[in-house]
Amino acid sequence: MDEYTPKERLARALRGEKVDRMPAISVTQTGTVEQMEACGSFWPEANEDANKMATLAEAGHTVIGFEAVRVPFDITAEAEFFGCDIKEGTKQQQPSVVGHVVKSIEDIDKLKGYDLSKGRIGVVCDAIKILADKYGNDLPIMGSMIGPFSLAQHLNGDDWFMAIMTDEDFGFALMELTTEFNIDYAKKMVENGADTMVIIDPTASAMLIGDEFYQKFVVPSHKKIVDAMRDMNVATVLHICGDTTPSLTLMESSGVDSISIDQSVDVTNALSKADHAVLIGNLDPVSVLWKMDPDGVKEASKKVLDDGIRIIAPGCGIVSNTPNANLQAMVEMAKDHKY
Amino acid sequence: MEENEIINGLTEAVINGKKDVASELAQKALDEGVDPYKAVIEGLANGMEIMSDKYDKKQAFIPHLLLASNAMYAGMDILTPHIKLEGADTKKVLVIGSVEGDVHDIGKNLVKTMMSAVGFEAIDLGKDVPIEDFIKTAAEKKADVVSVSTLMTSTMDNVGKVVTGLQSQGIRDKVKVIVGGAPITPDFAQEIGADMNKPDAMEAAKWALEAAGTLSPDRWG
Ligand SMILES: [Zn+2]
Repeated sequence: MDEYTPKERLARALRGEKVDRMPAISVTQTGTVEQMEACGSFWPEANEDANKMATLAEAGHTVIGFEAVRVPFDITAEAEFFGCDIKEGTKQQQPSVVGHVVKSIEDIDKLKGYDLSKGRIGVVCDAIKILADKYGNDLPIMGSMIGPFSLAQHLNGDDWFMAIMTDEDFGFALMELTTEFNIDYAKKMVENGADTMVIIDPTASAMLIGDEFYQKFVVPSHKKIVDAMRDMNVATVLHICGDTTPSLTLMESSGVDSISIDQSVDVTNALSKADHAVLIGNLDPVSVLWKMDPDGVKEASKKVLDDGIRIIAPGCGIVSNTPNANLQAMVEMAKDHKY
Repeated sequence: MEENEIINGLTEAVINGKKDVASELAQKALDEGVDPYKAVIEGLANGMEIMSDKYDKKQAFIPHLLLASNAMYAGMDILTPHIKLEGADTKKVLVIGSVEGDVHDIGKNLVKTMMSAVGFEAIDLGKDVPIEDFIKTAAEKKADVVSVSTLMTSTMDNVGKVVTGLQSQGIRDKVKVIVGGAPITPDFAQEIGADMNKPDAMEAAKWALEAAGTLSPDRWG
């Protein structure tokens, strides 16, 4: 008999508390074509419709065996909400942001006073409600959103990377907007039933912008989000792409409960850097989860587990063509693992 | 102003990301009769190379690189039209783009900057580039190097399709193909039949220049 429900187990594991065994989850996106075919809910519609979104998220549990359900499957709803042009996704591909709406402080002011029931932000919250009503007693309900720095980059375009250096007032003003939005949105997801919050902030990498800018622009903002979630008893996970090893100390200084590390991070090394954050990862979504067979996945999982990862999971978003059998192999490895 | 003062000034302007200073000094170089080719290579490109080196050593980051890149282009816009090349000295041609489905181009832009810095004429197809456009442009412009990149795992297959397309048009051997972007590994590059994958933009540029040199100049007939 399991000592904990999946919901209790993950809540404890993400906070570094003692659990009976490893939870089997993915903190990054879970949608794949094989799951779509199994449940009849496909991208791109599953990005737009709350019922379809919930159905595909549910397949992560019923088809793959993840001990959680998680929405959404992309990180563009937030930029779309603020009016950025989006290139629609396909069955295999997530939507992407192609247009930017903020050039000046005046543009930022125009975006204030938003209505969170609008657009796909509202859809994601509705999907969370559907999932929470069905599974909320037993399974973790994971809400995910793009982080404030990457959202700022979506809103401002690549000029954003220069703006943080050349125009601090503008940089702080945009971060203030995105951070407030992130907090409001996260709270709304929680009110709808989310109990775990994943912050995907791919471009907020200290490897890209350096420690100094990360400290100045990213840490305070992550801290505000983490604090708001902690007040609601919600555990937080931060995912940043790339080799974040040298920045783990800085990343966890926001107080975030767990950090999802990319496949390019060496687990042993990372464990020696992170002080309190629980490390999650880091199977390569391409060369392992997509391209290998289940035995290969198990072997790669074993290595990461032996290295001492706290929760095994994909190192970044799951590729849509990933076979079910490979994800199931990862799930099996997680469930079999005791600390 | 002395020639070496101008050249050093151009290097400094790039390092400090000062676009206006780079333009001013580029104009000054022309006014004072400094060889524009020398001003680009020893001045601007040198600055970009120093920045790339600093980036590798984690002493500079993307914001600094982008500002440096802007400064370099500001200077090059003024100087390049005055560079006269003869015979074998003609510029090597690079066709570069982010593959169809990928709307990111910051990585691609940095590679383009470094390629320009080492002396390529860069034909930038932009982002989300249809596979045929790489092939058509490579043939039309008699390219030396084709650079295809993606940041997204979902579009990696399209990178392979560019190589296959070059093959089926019979021009694969006329160009060197370099592929790059976060999810791309040397193994993947080999698997799809590309010539090279480099994690670093300056290394990519240096490799490309050398590889282009091994191509027969009359291969396009
Ligand atoms: Zn990632």
